[in-house]
Amino acid sequence: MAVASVKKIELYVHRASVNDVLAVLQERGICEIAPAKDAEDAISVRASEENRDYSALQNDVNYLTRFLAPWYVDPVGSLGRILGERDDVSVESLAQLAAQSDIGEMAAEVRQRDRKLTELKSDMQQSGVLRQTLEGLNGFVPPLSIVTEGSQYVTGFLGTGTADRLDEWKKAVEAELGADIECHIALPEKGSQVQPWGSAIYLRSLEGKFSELCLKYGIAKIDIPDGLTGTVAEELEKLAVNVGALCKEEQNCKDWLNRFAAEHMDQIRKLGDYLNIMKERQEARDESLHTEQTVLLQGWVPVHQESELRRSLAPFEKDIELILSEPAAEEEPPIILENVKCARPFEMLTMLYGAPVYGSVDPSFPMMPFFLLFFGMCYADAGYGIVITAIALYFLNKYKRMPDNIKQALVLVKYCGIATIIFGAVTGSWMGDMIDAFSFLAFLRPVKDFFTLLEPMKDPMLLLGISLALGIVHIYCGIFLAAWANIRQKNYFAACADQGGWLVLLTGLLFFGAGSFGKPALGPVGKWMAVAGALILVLTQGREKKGIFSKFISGCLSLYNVTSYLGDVLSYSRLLALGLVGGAVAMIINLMSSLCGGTAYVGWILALLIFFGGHVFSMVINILGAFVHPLRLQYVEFFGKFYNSGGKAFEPFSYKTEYVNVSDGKKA
Amino acid sequence: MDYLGITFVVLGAALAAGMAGIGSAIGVGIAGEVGAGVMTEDPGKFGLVLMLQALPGTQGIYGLLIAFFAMLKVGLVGGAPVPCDWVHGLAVMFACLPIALGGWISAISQGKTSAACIQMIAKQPGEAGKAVILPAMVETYAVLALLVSILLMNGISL
Repeated sequence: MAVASVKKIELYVHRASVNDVLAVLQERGICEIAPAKDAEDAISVRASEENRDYSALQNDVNYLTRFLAPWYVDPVGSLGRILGERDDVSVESLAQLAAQSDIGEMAAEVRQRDRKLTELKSDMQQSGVLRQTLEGLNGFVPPLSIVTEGSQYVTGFLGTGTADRLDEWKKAVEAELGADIECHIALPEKGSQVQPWGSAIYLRSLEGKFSELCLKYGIAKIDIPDGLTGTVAEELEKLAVNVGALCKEEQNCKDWLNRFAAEHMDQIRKLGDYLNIMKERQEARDESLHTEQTVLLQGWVPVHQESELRRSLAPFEKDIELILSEPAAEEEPPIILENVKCARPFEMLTMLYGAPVYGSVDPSFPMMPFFLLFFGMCYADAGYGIVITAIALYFLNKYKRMPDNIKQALVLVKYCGIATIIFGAVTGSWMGDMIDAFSFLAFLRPVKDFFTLLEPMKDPMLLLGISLALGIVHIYCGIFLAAWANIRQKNYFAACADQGGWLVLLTGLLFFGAGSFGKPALGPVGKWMAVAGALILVLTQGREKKGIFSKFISGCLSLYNVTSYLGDVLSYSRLLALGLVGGAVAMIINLMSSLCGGTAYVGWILALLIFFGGHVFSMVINILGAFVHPLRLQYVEFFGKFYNSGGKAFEPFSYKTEYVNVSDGKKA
Repeated sequence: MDYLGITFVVLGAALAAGMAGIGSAIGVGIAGEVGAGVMTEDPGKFGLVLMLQALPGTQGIYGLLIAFFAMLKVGLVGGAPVPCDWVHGLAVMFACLPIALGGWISAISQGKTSAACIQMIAKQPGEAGKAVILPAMVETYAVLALLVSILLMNGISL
């Protein structure tokens, strides 16, 4: 239940062995290497021939993995990969693989296919457009060469415009140019999608006059590519053959990519991971301070890993100087949370809010019972609890090698599921009121009733009272934690005045309240306690102000916070509301299901569909609220009392890979 | 005057489901528009975006819930009809109003917050946890409205 102590590392290494030292540190993965603050100085010394340019290679690998992904059928599947189904490889074998493969060449080959595919696509598009044009010109009988080339004296024209214009144009052309031109127009039937067109064959010498007439009547030339010389039908046939060839070529390209991906994807991904490892190592080195002969690696190691660190650096004894020291006050060491095993999944929730500052309280353990209880109260159904527990157990058993953070998340789901089962059983909710709603389940009633202690639907006020009482306990716990944090930092006065004052005042108010509701003996005690608490607060809360008057004013104003405590407690009423929602939605589903069950013949199918579909829906919708709202109670009502976030999580210098598990070279 | 009671109850149920539903529809819509924009850049965020988009949808369910409570009270769904005079009918209708109004407006606000949070995770994918909490702060007031509706409904005995 604490933030782990860390020590500061200053490791002076001779340049000759810096790469080996880093390799060992990266393999152990126990310390964080921090870039030097004034790394600018280091840059001048940095350049050396051992620096390989990993970025260019990484670009190629990224391109390949991204481009090839659609062509690759992953035998593992992304879910399995996330859950830890990865190959075990050693760094040595990865290095060997890298030495053997030429990423640049692979990328070049794939890029060539990539370009080819793009070209083919655009060619096919062009062919499509041309086909449409030619199909529109189906009635044009002469070979197209008359339009694209013409002969010594004669040339042709194909144009398009509206039907009326074409008609006028034809009349005008025939009137002006008479026998020296042969004009033809094709007007489609009304409502047809085909474009009307007109053709003309005329003496070259009339070109100027003819163009003028075209311009005058707004007839636009239809562009026929130069190479076309046959008739329209012939050209369409040729085009079909051509498109067939393009398709075939495209298919070849795709087949090649499929084959290539199947053959090389595994290798490329491994190389990507290897490059990430090497890049990180290089960065750790380059961002540290250098002299001509030495490199200074700075970073952090958790205290309990100190001996491990010394042991792993032992082989380099001659080339290094390791200095470990306590972090100075102004430094901000990275945060590692340390908790007993059962509280570890809750570290995730703490980190979600933001890592605590170094040396402050880690709320993961105190949060555990409250979060589980609140989740159970909000989800509040034994049936749903069994389902999510079963899902978590299934994944935990099926995938043994999953990364730690995913494992912890599933363990959290398991715990929440168990809490839900317990609370659901206590409130008699098994898939809502399933056991009461369906008469054939009547035999289960005694079992259900045996566990049932309270029924929120019938007596919501009792559960409301329990919710608010839990809220008071939760808030007290937060105040105690704040006091404890103050005591740890030897701020005894603050602990007594701030937290002590509030505890006395709030307890007094509670007793006073209890006095009015049936416990008259507590009334006067409470009154005087409240007065005492209020006095402490008025006298101490203004202690940072100057002048007696402003001290007094701030002291009095601090009492106003009592409303915020009231608001905090009322906020816990959501536990009742969300618990009721879950139960009521489930009840509605059961009701609809049993109503549909009465329909003749198909009733049971409908009933089953509504029952399963409805409950899956209800589970998904409710689990979101059951997670978010208890979490909010932790973050706002609980953390607000004592928690200081603003730390930076510990990021060990280790192998960060996406597709493989890097294991020790000796074991692999 | 036998029918007046049940008419009020029906009106209350209609308001609860209808208005809270309208709010949720608008809220989920706002969040969805932004979500679609974010996914044009990075379709991989679908899961997160969907979760954030779903958050303003709960008010509709709360409304539905209260509507069902109202209907159950007078036996409109299953069970025998319960006689209800106009005073009690009106009371049930008023009991529906907290979630009708609270659900309606809060869902729209929550939709806007969700939309902003979706934009946040577009730039800071690591902060998904915080992005889920902010819209939940808005939902608090829908939950309180729901609570009052439930307690009122529970208090009215026909």
